[in-house]
Amino acid sequence: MRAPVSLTMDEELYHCLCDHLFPEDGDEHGAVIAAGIVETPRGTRLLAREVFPARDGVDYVPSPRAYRMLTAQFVAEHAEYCASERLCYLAVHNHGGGDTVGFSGPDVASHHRAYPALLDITNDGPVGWLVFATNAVAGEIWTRNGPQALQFARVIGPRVRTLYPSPIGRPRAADPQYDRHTRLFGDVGQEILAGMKVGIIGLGGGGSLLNEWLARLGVGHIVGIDFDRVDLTNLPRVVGATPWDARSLLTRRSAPWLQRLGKRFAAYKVDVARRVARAGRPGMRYDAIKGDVLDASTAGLLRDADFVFLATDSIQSRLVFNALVHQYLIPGAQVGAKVRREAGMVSPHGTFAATRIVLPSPGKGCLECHELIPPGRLQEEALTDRERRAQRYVDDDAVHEPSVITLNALGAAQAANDLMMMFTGLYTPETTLYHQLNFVCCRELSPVEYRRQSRCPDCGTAHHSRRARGDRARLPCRA
Amino acid sequence: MGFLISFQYPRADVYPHFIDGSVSRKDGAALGQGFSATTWQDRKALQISRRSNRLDPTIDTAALKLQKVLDWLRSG
Repeated sequence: MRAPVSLTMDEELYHCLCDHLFPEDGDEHGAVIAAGIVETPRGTRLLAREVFPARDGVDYVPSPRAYRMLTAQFVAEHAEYCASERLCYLAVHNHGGGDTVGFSGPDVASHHRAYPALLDITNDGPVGWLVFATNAVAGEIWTRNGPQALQFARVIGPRVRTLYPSPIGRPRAADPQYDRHTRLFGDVGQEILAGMKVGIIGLGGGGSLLNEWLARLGVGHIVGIDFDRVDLTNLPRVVGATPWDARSLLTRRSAPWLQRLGKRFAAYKVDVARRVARAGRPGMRYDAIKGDVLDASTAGLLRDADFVFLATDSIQSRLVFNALVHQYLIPGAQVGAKVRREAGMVSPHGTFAATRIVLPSPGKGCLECHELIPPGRLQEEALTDRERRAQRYVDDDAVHEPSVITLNALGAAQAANDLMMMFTGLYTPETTLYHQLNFVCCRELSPVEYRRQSRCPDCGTAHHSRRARGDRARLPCRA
Repeated sequence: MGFLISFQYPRADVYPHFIDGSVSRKDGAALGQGFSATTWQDRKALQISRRSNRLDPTIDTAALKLQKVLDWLRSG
């Protein structure tokens, strides 16, 4: 198990746990968390999927060796459940106090007694123990190789919170170039952004804008994913793309073979994006991935991202994005612009820029719950171009949707601000991050209230849902 | 009968279905809506377009969809 080890919880589940642990009676309470697991070079993330509160006096009782303990029956029942669901078993209790918390001597002794049996029951776990205070958490996570301390817990909501065992030191003073930033969100906010890994799927109009803004905001690590090369028609809206990138000397020629040659040697969009990002933030880490997020190996690069943007047109990539958000508890945003034409005219109510924040909580912007992943479109997009023409889904390959950088910018700007506000603590926990449609022809901003489908396979709480299952479930990708 | 199960099944619909291009109605009437002549896997075929508007990936399997399409064909 690679260090650092962390726990991620969505805000709804965290509140459910806190309501049980801190009912304002000053006493100690217990629970079990069933968690998915993600292991990447960046560390090990435990993903809280379910909380099982232990009933006081029934499941959580006085202990002969410590103050209280979970009963053997409660432990066995939930450890077996975790084993059957391929989840990690985490026993939880609380102590008094606020910003600092740690295990007592009897707590640690009980971990040493219990971990071998728990690892046996849960097929090598990992298993662990967590102790919460109102504003702190400590933990010990066990494998056969011994224990590792939990570094921090992250609570994902409109205001992303990070809990530690004790207060961390003051942040380093930010680079003077960020002086105007730190006047908004402080040195600590700048340090949070520098520590972030952000994925951008699609580096076209919207994605290339996000790419530059994130780099200039000071995000430390960007993973840009796009398989496409710069085309002549991209030049007006892909930030940083030059005529040379599009090999326009060739692609503007009338001879088809020269056009083909130009297209073949045009620059990849991710290479342009990396150049732009590094111009804005020299020395930053940038992974320029010339690949398709529909491939499991490419999508897997985002399993430990802190935030993911989706800026593509395809429904298939929407499915993968929505799965990443919920399976790995990563907040994200889908951005795009839609122009609908009716009888040759631009439809005012069919033309909008969209910002859709998706939080990894049930029904908090899930694209599936909002019926934005139509099953028929997934099937149509799986066809080859030839099959699609044969099945008459496409009449003319030369027909493309309208796309203008200023429309792309509207959706992208709100999403970039949402990331900044969520992670630097500028949003209150009560902020609702509804999907937002900006009807540009009418200058009308329209929120779309949350929708929730109880049987949702992505965000739902039912057994079949992928929510918080981490590496032990399959993403809807090509192997 | 032929159909494609894509890598995003069961989230993706199983649609359309294909039958041999020589199939016709016993009464000689036209095949009507939902059918179109095409080629599939390099052979002449009839395409049957029956999209599931309320697909539930936990219960709507490819086999169930096939059964529904067959029932619809036989009832037509």
